[in-house]
Amino acid sequence: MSRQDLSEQITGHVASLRRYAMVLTRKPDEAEDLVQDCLTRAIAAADRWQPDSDLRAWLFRIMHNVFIDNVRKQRVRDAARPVIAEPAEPPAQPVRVELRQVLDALHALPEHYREPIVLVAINEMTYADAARVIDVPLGTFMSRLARGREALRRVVGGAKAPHLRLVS
Amino acid sequence: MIEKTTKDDVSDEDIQRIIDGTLDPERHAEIVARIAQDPERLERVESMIAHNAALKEAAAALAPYENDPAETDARTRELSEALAATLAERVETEASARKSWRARLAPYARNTAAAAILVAAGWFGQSAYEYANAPYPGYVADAAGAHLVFAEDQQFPAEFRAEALALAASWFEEKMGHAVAPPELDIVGLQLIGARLLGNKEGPLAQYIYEDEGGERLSLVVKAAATDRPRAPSYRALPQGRASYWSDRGLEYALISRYADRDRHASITEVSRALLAQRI
Repeated sequence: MSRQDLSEQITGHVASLRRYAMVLTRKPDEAEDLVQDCLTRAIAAADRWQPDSDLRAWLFRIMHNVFIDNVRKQRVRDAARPVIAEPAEPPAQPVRVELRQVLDALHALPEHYREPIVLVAINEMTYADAARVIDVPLGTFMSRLARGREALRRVVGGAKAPHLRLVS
Repeated sequence: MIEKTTKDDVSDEDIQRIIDGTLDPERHAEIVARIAQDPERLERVESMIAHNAALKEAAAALAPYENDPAETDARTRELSEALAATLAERVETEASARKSWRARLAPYARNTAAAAILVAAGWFGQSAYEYANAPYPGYVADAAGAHLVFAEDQQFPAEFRAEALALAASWFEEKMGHAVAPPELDIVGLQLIGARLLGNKEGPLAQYIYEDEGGERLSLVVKAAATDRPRAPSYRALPQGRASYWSDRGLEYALISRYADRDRHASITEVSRALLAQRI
């Protein structure tokens, strides 16, 4: 694999990583920081990468670790801060209101539900690949995905989300 | 374990695959028919399909520039290039390691038993073993000392401030007999703030002092190497901080930091090496 091939592959993967981070965080700056942290860690861990292994899965595993570390740090910061409701963020990009409702609902879920939903929806990963990314057995992954999607549905709740008919 | 959601043979996985559209058409039709018997359940599944579609659409709306490299963040782009360079080097090292194994085994290939004995006795592993156990070279210890004494001094950190570095470069070249251009490490968040010429018993050492966004300092120490043989980086924990050191094209380098985060130190090392070797 040449440097040029790797560079092109990485550019594609970075786009997926950014999409993933954007949906997880809803904030462009935070998402870009996550992507950059992920790349920095990947550079540091390059000697542990096997040239014939799946580069995308490897990068997503690193991204998952970066994200989880950030969530933990955020929790420590939140715990150290007096409880003041954060002002609602203005939308980073103009996103249709019903899409934003779903994004906001997603954000209300614990991260162990959020990640499986986003990995599968945004990156079109197989369940087995996504389970490997977050390092849990497939059964655990499936149950988190099912419960997460059900929880998302309940949080969106009465909001008028776009409706899609399975049978007409 | 995948639970059955109801007694009607529709599993959680079936539902998830309906949402993702990954069931084969026949099974899809079968499951939908079963779900449709319970209108409430049908509506639940339809909502989840809609939410999933909304997430996909939102992702596309949130990251609209992803296909236009000119619009992506410059630092992300540089880090991507640095990663490509580092991984390309890794591919090359792996390939040449395999090649050199073959080359080293070739003289013994007529006698595979002899080759097997040599491998079993660890003959091939010997150099790596010695290397890992060697104490770090003297200049690394000197670099660590210089870092403590000079780099962390907030008032007079350098003989050459950033603006006088061009002058420093020619002076260092004269003293060390080698051109030394310090790498620009802004892609890993470091600014070169000064330089200093030091010496140890082996000769002159150039110390470059960098500072990160949090005010943390790092030293990159360079000296002329005894041989031209390149050496991959080694990492050592120091009583106060971390050191990594390597050689390339007639120069030896040591990077000293006090980062608690080992990965941060390692990525700065890899980016420095790539920049010094002009791979990025």
